[in-house]
Amino acid sequence: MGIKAYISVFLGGLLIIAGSLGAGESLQKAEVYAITNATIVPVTAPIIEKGTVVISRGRIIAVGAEVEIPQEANVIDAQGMYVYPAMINSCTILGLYEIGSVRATLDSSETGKFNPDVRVAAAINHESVHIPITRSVGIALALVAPRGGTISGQSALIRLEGWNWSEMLVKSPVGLHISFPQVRARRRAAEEEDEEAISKAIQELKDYFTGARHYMERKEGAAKDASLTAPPVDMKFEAMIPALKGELPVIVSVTTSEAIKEAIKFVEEMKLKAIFHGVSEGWKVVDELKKADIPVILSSLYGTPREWKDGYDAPYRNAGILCQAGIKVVFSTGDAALANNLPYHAAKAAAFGLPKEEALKGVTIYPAQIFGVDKDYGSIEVGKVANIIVTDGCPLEITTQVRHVLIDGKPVDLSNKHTELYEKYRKKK
Amino acid sequence: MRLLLYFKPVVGRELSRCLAKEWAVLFFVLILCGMLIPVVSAEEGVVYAIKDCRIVPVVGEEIPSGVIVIRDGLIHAIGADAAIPSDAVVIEGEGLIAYPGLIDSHTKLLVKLPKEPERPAQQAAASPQPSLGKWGLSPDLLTIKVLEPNEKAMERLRNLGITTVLTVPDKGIMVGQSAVVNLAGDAIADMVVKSPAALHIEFNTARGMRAYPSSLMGAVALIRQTFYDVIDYKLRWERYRQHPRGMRRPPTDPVLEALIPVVEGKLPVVFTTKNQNDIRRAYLIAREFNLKHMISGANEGWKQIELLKSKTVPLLITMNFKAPNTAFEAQQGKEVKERAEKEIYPLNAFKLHEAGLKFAINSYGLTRSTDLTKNLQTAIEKGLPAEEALRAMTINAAEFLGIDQQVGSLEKGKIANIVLSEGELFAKESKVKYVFVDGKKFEVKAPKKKPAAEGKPANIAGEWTFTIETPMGSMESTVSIEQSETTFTGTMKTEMGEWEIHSGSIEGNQITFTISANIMGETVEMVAEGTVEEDIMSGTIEAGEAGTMDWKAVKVPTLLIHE
Amino acid sequence: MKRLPIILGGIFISLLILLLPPLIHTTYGQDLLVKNGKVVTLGKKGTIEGGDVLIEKGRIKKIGKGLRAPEGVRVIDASEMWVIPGIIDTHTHIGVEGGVNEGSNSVTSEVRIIDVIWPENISIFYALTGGCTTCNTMHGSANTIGGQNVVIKNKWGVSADELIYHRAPKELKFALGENVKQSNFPRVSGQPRYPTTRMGVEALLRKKFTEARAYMKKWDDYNKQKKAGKNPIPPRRDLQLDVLVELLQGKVRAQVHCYRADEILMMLKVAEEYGFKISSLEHVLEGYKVADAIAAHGASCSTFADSWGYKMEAFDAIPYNSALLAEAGVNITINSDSGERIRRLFQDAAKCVKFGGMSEEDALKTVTINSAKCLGIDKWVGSIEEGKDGDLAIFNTNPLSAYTRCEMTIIEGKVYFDRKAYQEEMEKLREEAKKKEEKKEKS
Repeated sequence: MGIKAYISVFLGGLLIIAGSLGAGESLQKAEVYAITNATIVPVTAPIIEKGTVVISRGRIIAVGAEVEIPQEANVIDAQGMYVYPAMINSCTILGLYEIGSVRATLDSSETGKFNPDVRVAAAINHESVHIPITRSVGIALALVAPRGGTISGQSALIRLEGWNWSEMLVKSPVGLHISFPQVRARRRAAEEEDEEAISKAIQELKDYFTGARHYMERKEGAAKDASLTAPPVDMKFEAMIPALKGELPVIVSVTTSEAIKEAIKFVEEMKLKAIFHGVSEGWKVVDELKKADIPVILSSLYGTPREWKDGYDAPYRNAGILCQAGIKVVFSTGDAALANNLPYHAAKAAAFGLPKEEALKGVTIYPAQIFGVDKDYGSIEVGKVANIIVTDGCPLEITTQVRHVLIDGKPVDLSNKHTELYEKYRKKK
Repeated sequence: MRLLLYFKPVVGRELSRCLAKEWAVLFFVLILCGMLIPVVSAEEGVVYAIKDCRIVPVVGEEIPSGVIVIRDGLIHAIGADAAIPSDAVVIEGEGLIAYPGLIDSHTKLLVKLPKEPERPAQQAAASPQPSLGKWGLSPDLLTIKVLEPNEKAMERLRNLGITTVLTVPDKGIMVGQSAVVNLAGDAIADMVVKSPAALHIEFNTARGMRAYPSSLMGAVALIRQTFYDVIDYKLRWERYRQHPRGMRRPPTDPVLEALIPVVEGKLPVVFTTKNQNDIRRAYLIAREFNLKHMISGANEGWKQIELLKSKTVPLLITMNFKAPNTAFEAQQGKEVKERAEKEIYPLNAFKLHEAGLKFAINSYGLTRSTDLTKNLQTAIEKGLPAEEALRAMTINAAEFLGIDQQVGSLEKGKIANIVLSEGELFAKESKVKYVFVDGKKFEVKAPKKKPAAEGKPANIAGEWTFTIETPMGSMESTVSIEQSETTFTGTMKTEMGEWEIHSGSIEGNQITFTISANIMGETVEMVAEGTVEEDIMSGTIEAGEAGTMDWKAVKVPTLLIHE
Repeated sequence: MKRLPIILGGIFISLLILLLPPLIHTTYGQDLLVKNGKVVTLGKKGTIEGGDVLIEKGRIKKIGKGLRAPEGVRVIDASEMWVIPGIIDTHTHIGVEGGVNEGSNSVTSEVRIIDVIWPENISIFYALTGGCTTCNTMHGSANTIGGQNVVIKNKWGVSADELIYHRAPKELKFALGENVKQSNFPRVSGQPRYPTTRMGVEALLRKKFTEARAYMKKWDDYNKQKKAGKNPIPPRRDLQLDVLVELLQGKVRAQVHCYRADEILMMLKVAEEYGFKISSLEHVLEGYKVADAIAAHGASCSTFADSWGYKMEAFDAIPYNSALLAEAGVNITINSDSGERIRRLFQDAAKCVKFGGMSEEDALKTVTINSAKCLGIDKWVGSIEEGKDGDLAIFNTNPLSAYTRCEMTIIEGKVYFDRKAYQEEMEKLREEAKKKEEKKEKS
């Protein structure tokens, strides 16, 4: 299997080289691909055995068992292999993080409590070593989200391929990120002391939103009525207007059951379109979440429960319980260095009650829907952007090898810092 | 009157207020004087005869009705037919039960350690391998040297029937050599029953990383290395003493010197154990160095019953039912922890008794040592037989501490430490009427009626304006309090400098605390109690010989942050 | 692969010295029959479909098919389940009370984890839920020479003494690099602790081993004189040097926390200079760069599956590390270093298949028999073989699958974790709590 993996890593690279070499003479050939003889898992449609996917100019133009292969197509024979839509990591700090202990390489958390006007897009380091590593397991899109403070800033959905951040952007902003005030300490004793500080912090957050709403109303009022004076421009409040209007979702990071309830109250009171992130105790407040109709981005499933009676497997069972109640659940890793572990979090949930198909949807079509890009992403359908992976098995399995990753209809290089060092030191005998 | 010279010039009405203030300050100086002058006891030489009381001698048969004669501080005669001497002051014992004075086998009562000197700023070391200094080794500290009599504190215990305590500091690792003292007297020298009683070892660590050991495993290593050093030290000096000529003399080390009787088995070691694992650690160390040892604390004794039964050693178990942080329940949040403290930990004594283990009982780790008997009642409710509890607090403790020829039972010739109670001693409704310590009589006054403490402990954290009404005018100060659930500490900023408030406890709206007043370089402890009503507290302060003073405190409002 | 000769001064004594005799002797293990599972023995018997494992008094008595349970022995039906040897974690800090680092000084070889075993630490239970039966619980990595580690069995609910795996040989923790230099610590006032560079770490190691040699000689001289009938005064016993002498004598296993290739090589050379053996390199994230030297020395490597990038010295870490080291002939194991990750070591093992293409069996070995070898306890644990401890983990499917779930964990024939029973118990607990809350709300 070692050799096979080795080949797969190279194959992707060769295709790229072939593509660029041929650029001058046959541009068309470089833009048309056909993946043949594959078991196709479109996610939104039934599985197709021995199927073909045809891609032209970045989009899927045909999918099926009996599809004609255009003459100019680069054919990828996927005999015995599987084709899936590429995965989406729904919350990471990819591009904002390089080395954990080196502050100079960290750009994910701005100082201060309220930073609605900071945007991750402009700070994404497209050369981050973590991007190709994440890509190599079949992840094509990632929501890069800011952290820190109470209002952390605006996230962006990026494709994990491109010459600069501008080229990588799929959508920006995607959401206004809020780190909801909650108990961080595990010890119950500390919780009680914190309670007062927390309710104060929640009030502060509400006041901030109310302040922004006043600003917006005054501004709108002045625009309509010349006798009124507009407030002086406030860039922070400006940044909140789309969220206040419900055009931009707020993505609220919240984990404990008590805080989730508070957060629901908050988004309802402020009339916000919300997505929750984290939500590891969501299973305790299923009814509330369902009633509020809030989709959930789970973060790492690898935490231990807050209380013994929750059970050791509470973080694992969480997704299954939420899904059963009809809540849309998607997966994320949070971090950047292990953003490639995304599929294993989804699989872990599947081992503890989440149907396997739901686990797969939670890293493909569901995030596309939540982020409002399902017209183009998240499944293998004609007309969608060709973000496709070719694997030798289920992409959520650890032992599965990803042979090809196509982003925007082009095979991408699967080599990365890890494979490069691997290749370098393999030669040393 | 020299103090008057320091008066600042003030005018009008201010003057009288100011005068009152300064007079109040002066009052504290007088308190100090009062405390420093030894009070000559009027009790000296009085012979007592307690008649017609039921006698529970603990050792020997119970006497339904008998006489106890006390002379020269000793039990002169005891029995159904003991003669009442003509020079005796007769005490009517009808309806009372006589017990031996109770022994609290581990406390830090009356210990007053000098404050640790500030750590000098770290110097740039010339040598590249600075090894940090060892922390917590004071086996050469004799507790009797750091004891200060505190009548109020002693009275509180006497009122519960406790006449004798083993006391030792609790700071450090080898914390020092304990003393057994009787709880009456003006001078420690007259109160000591036995000193040194034992070397005490606690598994404590230095805070932070600025001293060795900073971890529990470091503490164990330090204890072991120290014992090996004692063995080495002893051998070197023995050799040297045999043939001093031609041999370089070894250095003298008071720490190691003090431990020689320990490794020789002449002085026992008491290991304080705060969880089940400490018991194991104690056994391992004792085995390695063949120490004569005792276990104090043993709050999780039932978790180590196999071990405790495998080699029985004197057990001095605590009536502190707080679950240690290491307990499984303590890792599950406050609710589960508190349930364990109510339902599991009070069963410890009963379970050890059931396992056939013999033990003494103490107040180690209790914030208020007066909770000892209250918690003991809980242990009895949970199944510990009352007779066993009595033995634990009398003869067992005396035997373990090697003072059973002096105290621990009512027998002729023993020290006259006697409790006379109305009703069975540990019964809820019983009342201690008289306590004799070293033959001195103390009558227990009925406690002042206090409104029953109810509900959650009041929150008193913050700043208070505190006024003490001294007989010479009122003294104002600023008090700031740090509260942790039912306990608190604080500081009191007075005209005479900053005083420490410690041992504070809150039960409902009732509070008690101690003020360590530093008056002209001397420390005076004053015990205060009071009631909290929202932003006002009031109560009384016991100022020793000077009597009782009223106090009142008003909360300084915290500034509300404008939102 | 050429093997470099190792020049070792001391003679290796395979004799193991007991950590500490136990304080109490409890009876060893229980009887149990696990029936009809897919038994992956990782031993001579290979993998048996529909296999049975009979455990008697805590030891594996028989492995085969159609075994009968003796009268009164509990039988566990493992139909459609995978039965593997109990997972062994070679590097954890769980079950340690009162601090995992004696961080005051940089050399504290005198401190012992065995003195501070904390049996009630919930992490021990968490380990069980992931099929982990044995783990090496260690001093932290704050010091050049940290302290003495100890192997425990994750017997949830017993006292410290019974938790310790008394057969395991004595171990000593070393650490190199950033943690020892304290380079990721917030700066404190005053002179920093020595050493603050990798140069200083080497210098300190050589200083200490030179001291240990001198100390060893003192004792040798003393013993010689004593043998000659003289009455010499013994040298002062120094607990810190004692263990270093035992290391020089080959009686203690050196476990070295390391990251970068340079420091790995340095440590190997120091060991070779002073004539002792490194038994395992821990983390060893750049081990692949010096795999040949490690193989020649004969040290095991205990590494992470794919953790990396969290600090400078982890920036050249690659998930192919284990595969490359294994190819070089190094005994490789995957560790958790965490009270949480210890629950999913089987998943980390699966990454060895993905990165570098280890066979599934070899991947499983990285958390079982290889780990046992790494700790010097492979005679008794690490594979399902007759005579070994009855330590098993039962999974609902292939333990290397991302969809797998540990169903049961057995130590010495006793079931310490049974998911079904656990779920029922928890359900009850949660219901009770719910009722209580409802009552509260009502009142």
